[in-house]
Amino acid sequence: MTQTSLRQRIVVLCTSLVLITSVIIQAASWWSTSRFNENQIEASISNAQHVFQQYLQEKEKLLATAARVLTADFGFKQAVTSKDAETITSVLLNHGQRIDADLMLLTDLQGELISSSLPDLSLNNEQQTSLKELLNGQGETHFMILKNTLYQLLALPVKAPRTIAYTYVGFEIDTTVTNELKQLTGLDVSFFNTDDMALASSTSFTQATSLQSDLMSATLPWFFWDRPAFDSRQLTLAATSNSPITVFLTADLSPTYKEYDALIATITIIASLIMLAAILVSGLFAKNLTQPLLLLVDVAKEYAKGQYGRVLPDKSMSQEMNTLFDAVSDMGKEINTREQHILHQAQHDTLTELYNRHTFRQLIEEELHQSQNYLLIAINIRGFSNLNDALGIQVGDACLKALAKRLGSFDVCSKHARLDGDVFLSLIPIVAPEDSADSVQKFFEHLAKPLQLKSLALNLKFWSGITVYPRDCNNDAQAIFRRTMIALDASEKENQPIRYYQDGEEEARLERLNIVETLKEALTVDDGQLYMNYQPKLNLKTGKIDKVESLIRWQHPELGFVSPEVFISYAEQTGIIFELTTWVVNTVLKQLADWQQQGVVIEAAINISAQDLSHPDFHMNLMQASAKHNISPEHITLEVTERDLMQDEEQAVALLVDLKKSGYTISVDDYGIGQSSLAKLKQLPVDELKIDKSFIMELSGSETDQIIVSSTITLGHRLGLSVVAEGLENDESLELLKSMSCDHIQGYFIARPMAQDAFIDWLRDYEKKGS
Amino acid sequence: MFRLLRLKIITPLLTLFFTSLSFSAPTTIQVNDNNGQPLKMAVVEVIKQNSVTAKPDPTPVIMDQVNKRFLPDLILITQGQSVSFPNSDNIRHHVYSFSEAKPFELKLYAGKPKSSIEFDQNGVVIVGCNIHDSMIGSIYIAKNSAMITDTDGTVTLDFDPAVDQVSVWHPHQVINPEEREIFDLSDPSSADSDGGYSFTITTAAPPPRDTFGDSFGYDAN
Repeated sequence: MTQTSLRQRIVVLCTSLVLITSVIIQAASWWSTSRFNENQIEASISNAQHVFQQYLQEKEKLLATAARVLTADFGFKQAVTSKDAETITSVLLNHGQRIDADLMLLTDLQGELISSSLPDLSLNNEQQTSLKELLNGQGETHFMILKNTLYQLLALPVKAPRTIAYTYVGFEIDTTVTNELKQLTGLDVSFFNTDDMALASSTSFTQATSLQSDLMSATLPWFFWDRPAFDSRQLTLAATSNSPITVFLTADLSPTYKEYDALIATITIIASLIMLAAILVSGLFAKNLTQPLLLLVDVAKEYAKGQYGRVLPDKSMSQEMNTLFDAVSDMGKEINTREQHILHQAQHDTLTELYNRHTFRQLIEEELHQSQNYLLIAINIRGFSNLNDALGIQVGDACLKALAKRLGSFDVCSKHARLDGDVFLSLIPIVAPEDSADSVQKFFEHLAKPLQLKSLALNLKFWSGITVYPRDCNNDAQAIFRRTMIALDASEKENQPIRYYQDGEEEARLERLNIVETLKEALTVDDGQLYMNYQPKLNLKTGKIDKVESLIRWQHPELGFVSPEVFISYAEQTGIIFELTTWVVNTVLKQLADWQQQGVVIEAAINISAQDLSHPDFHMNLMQASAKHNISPEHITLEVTERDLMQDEEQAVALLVDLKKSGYTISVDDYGIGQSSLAKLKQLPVDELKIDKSFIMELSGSETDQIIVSSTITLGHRLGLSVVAEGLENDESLELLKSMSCDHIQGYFIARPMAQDAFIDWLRDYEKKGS
Repeated sequence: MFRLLRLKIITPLLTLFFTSLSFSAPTTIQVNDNNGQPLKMAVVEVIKQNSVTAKPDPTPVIMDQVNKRFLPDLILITQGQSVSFPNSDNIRHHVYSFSEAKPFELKLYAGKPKSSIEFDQNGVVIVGCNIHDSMIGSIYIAKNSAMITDTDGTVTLDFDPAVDQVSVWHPHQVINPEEREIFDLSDPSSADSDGGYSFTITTAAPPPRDTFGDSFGYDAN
């Protein structure tokens, strides 16, 4: 986590502010203190310099005065003029001692050394020149080195009364002098010659040769760097030109450093304390600031979970915090309101305000776990689309709303949902399964009262599917939902306004679905499960078998023999009838081709369904199959049930016309039991009528059937159609049909439907008998 | 030095050459200071080769002390003459000299001292007072004829320029106060157009007598 907390940030901010401030203050105070110290030192050095110079002047004056008095002494003059070297030397020593002079020299007017208080002093040229130089500033002291000792020298004329010689009076500058100067000035005083060699010094250094550089470069270690130990000022003394003397006034900086360091330490301690205080205070402040924020975080987390009940404490916080808390609190309330609204919209049908499908499923799931009996009633308004068409969608919607309202007023314990369109579902608790009938009756009585829509009173009728929980289904909400819908479907199909779910219905549906799946598989595999049977048709005019009706059969390895009525019906319901018909067409045409090769020329009838007629590829497929097997369309009869024909599909009629044009024979199957009108029949491109077997099977014993069949045959012939009688069972009927001029007959009396090989055997046998 | 060297070489030659022609005549000698100004109070003495010292005047010359000054502060005497140092002040004086020609000392006295001092050697004697440093007097003891220059810095002396030499001395001369500078008259550079001679003496104004008073900034007088 690279994110830092607000608290940390505040602490860091405050601390760094204090840190920066104290560092700046420290730096400033360090700087100004050191500046102050520097100035102090500078001032003290200047002061010392002043004192030093004053000292020298005073000393010079005193020296000059003393020396003058000395040189003015008559005895001294007398001795000097005595020309006696020893006398002169002794007087120099003697008089020098009088004024504590350390050196006395006597030169003649040309500067030649006459006598000296220092034994064995001999002057080199340089020193002689220097001594002569001194004469130019009589009465002024100069510094000069003689025999490695520094002297403050003063040259004075010896006047008797005119100048007859010069006396040099010198005072040695030694440690005593420098110590005295140190006491006066407060600074160390060191005298150096041209070669920077120390001549005298008050310092404790002993190395004369390196003293100057020691003073300049000596350092005191301080943390990470070195501070100069001394501050020196260099002065040039009045000295002879070829041997200048320099003086160092040296301030020892260590006491200053000590004070300075103590000051800095104090400042640092104070700054550290302030910093510590800043950290503590800012930490406290940050805690006060962040605690409400953490509280807000908790609240926000609760909001995220959908808990809006938290009441925020009205602590004595800052105004902004209080405002924020209020805002968050308000936000929570508003989110709650909006969420409730959205939830309601999500759970309810927008039109009727009843539960929607999804919510109702969940509701059922939750409710049904309890040990309580329920009725689940699905209703569907009969002819609602007509109502919409007739009165408009607004009225339709109003009707739905009114119905929802009516449902809502049924029973406080019941719950209702609108699934889609005009399908409603109600969950009604009942005491025992035996009460269901009463409850259902009450329910429909409640709905039976007309719905008043403004000026319009609607009397609605319903299809309804009813399940009883847990009788019809236990503990599976999805299943009971499904079963109720199955009952509702059945209600409409079976034309029963109130339809209870019947035990095993769903299983049957599932089985049907299973059969369809298996059939699909059988069609795909084509391993002989599906096969064709052929039932011969006898031409009564010729007495020959010239047609067969091809009939599909299914022998499944596990299901056993499946009734064609069942699987064809399922195939029609599930839309795979076209594939089945295509398979039949191909199989039959191939068979016809086989037979033709065997020398058996025979026509075949194929049953087709209404769905085949509405399929756009049917005609093309048929033509291709005919061409492929080289079977003339005249040899193919397409049998369509009377009911399918009457469905009044323009497309189907157009297709029949095309098929007829192509040369196929169109036959009306099961004629006589459907609702065909003769007018309609007249329009259809039909070639053949196939009278339903129900009229034929007992023809010989029923006069009514004889009248119907006779007149039907007559009617067919009159309309130019050939007539086939199906279901012939006995010889009497055969004779009757012969007398009625029926064209073909078909039935068990002639032969049962047979497999292809059996049929050929039968046919050969039949023809043998007949001939 | 140059001048002296020249003298040493040239003088014998000139002497040999001019011996038969030598004669004495009054000649004017002009003495100037190093600034070209006429120098008064300079003593010009003729140095003869074979000089005969004249009999000195037995009367002592007076060098009085008036108002803490020698009066006059320069006297010209002949060798062997005496000088008397009467004290006309009402304070005592201690007159002395350490000069080579005549060191002497007249210890603190008032009025006329017991005796005058006889100066039996020629040369220059500087006299002072031991207790009054500002008092300086000069006594020129001449062996030959000598004169003090007048305000024009001139003297007129009888000498033979071919043979004689001339010495010039001034109390404020830069060189040793007791030394006399000797000039060679044969040096043409010193000969004037009018037959006289002129010499230059380097002088320096006498420094104020530094006493206690000077050192401490107040007048000792």
